[in-house]
Amino acid sequence: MLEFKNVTKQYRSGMFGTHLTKAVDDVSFCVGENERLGLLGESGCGKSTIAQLAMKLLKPSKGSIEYNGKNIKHMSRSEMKNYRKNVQIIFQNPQQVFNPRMKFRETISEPVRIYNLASSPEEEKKIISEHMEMFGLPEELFDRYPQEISGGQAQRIAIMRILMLKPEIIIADEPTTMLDVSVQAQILELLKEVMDKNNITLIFVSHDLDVVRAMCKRIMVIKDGQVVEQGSVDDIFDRPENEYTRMLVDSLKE
Amino acid sequence: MSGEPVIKTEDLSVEFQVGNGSVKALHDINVSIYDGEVLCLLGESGSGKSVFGNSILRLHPDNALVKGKIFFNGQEITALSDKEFLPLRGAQLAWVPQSAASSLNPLKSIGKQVDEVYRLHVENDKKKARENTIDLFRLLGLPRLPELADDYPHELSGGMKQRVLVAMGTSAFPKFIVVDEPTKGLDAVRKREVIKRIGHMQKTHKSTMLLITHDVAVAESLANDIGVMYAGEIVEYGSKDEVLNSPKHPYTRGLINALPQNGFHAIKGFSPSASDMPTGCKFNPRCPECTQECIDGHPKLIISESEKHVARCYHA
Amino acid sequence: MKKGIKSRFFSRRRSLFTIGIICSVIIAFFTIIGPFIWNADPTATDYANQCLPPSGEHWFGTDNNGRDVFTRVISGAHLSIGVALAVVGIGAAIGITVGIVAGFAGGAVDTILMRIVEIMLSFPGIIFALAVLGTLGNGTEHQIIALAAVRWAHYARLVRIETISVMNSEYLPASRAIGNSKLRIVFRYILPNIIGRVIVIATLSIGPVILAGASLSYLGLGAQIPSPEWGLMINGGKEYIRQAPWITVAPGIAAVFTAFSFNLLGEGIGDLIDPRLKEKAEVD
Repeated sequence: MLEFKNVTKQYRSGMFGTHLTKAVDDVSFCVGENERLGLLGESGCGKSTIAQLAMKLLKPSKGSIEYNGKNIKHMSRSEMKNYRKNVQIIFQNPQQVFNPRMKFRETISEPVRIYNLASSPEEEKKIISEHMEMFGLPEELFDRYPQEISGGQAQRIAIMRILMLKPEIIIADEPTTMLDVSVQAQILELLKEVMDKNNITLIFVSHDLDVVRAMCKRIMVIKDGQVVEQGSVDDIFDRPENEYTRMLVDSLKE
Repeated sequence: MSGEPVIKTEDLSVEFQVGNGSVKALHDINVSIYDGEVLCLLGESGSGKSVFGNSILRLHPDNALVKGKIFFNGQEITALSDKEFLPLRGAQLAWVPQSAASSLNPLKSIGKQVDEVYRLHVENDKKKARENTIDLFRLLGLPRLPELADDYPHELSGGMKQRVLVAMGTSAFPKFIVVDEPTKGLDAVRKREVIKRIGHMQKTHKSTMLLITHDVAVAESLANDIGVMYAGEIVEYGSKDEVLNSPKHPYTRGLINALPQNGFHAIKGFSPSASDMPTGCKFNPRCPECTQECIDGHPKLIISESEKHVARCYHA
Repeated sequence: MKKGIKSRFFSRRRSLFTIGIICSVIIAFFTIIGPFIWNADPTATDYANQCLPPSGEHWFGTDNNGRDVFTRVISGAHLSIGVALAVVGIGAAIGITVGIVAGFAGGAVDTILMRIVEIMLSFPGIIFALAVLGTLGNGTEHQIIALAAVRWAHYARLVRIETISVMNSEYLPASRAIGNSKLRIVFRYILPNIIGRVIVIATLSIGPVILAGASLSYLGLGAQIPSPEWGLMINGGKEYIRQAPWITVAPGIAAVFTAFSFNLLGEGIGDLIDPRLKEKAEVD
């Protein structure tokens, strides 16, 4: 469904912009329906850049990203809207992804309005309260601002908000790194349940092998912007071939 | 465990004035930390664990009301005026803040920032300060010494910045260090490194430490004693092995079950907010073992020499 | 526990803010209600009572034409303050528009707009205003245009920086990812997050603008004789400064007092808006 073809993203740095840094270097992969792909790597390896490229928040320097065979670079306005509805992202820092000057009532209703999911205000209300209930979120959150709720609740809202769109693919960019261990378990459990129930494809970006192993079936190990190894969870974990992967796995197995 | 505790608190409570009311963030904490030992406060964000660390160091915003007593080496530091207290902070009582990214001065080399603490509190000698800094950096396993000391914070990774903060906290040889969430936001590899190094440094210097964390793995590798915090209270207290291997409180068990190696079994529900506390035992709405007794009464927690492993639970 | 050094500092700030509010209310009272209470004609001359010192009858004395200085200061307030508010309002509107466009669009648009802003800022403000007035001719409206033409660049630069910091925040990519239109991002994401700072800076600049307006009038390039504009009054009284200093001192104090009050108000609003100084229960 989503395919990266030799995607490279480079930045100019240095005083005169003469130095080229490759954040993502010739990465190719594809995810199919109902797949669970994990992108594993240390911080700074370029895995979050891949997530942002897929969301078209960044443009690739080279290569193409295709959705159902169509390059996202050449999409028309309506195609892009459709793409955004179907490919969604969960960010790392739930307490900073919401507009600090907007109450949750408006934040939550955004996707419903942008994609005309409801034909009347009553229907909008119904859709939202159904989802709030499904996610165990009290309606009193409507009148709160993002800085007034806990990270766990904020991440729940983030997941709920994109789930209202019924996306085909969810990219989760370190969704539990900023959360407490106990809350992390809740969010992962929730995410898993949601994926299974709605047959959503997941691209899970994380530095945490335990978490990736719990969430994914296939893993790509990334180092310095390059895919150094990929394979099933068991292969990577029990029979790592690449030296870096072995180092990573060993250091986490202790 | 002998002699006077380095830090001892008696019925320590903290309230915040918000608007017309007040919010109780910390309830009647009674703990003692002995020389060379590490007490770890384990809890979720919002449980009051950082508030406790801040009370010892008097780092609260001005709408905080601190009740109860804190003793440092037998001296009641809560009775001191700000002027009397100030010389203690930094020299005797040190603090390693969380969020390494924003706690360092971006315009000064890391070496200078650590030197400063030494020169301010120990001896104003440039050369000795730098020697001390390099020793600490080496102890904390920072690479590329001594050149690294001339680097600026933005040139360092998150894990390295965290270790620089630890070096800053310890460079004046304080008697007592509060380390607040040293691994927050670090990835697994860096987290392991930071924990290892803090442990190594603590053993070498025989520091007395209060470690604040939400991460059971951090507590496991560094703590002597653990206090599990929930909704502003200590709900379980005991030695590391007792608490982690035979937890008495259902919340502690929940925390341990939520670990990756135990399969991410989550505790149901959310922590209560400080303005909306349940009656009785504060954990009762989320507790699988909740009975009528837990809703009617508020279990007590008494730590004594004879009974050190205790839990705030009727069913323990 | 006793209050810290910090808290004493902050409570002093808060009482300064209270003073700012009180002063502003006093100014508003004199400006809006004042002319109805002290409703004598500010331009009525009385050559029998020239240059009288302050007394029970003439609180601030009379000027060289025998006009009551107090009445003139009061009735001139709406002119001086009105000009300043108009200048800040127009300047901020232009500045916000230019700043957001530059910060949001980036690239060449940003470069061009910011070069223009830099050129504007590189002139000494008063000289640029003089040049504008020289071209347009005298008058209150032209005075407003001249001063606004100087002010907007200051606001534009600030707004651009604030816009860029919002653009770099984590919630902006999130808002784009969920599919918000550009227009909505500007009005619901960028504007609410920068407006607080803009209000603070705008309030802080009312004072200097009042003084700049007075300077222009003093030079004879704003309001015209016999209008009771403060700068003009100071200008008119300067020849009598030895015999009758109250003619210049009274409007001078009024201008400085107003500028000072708006400064306290601006700083107070800044403290209120800036979340770092807000009283907040940081439970963890």
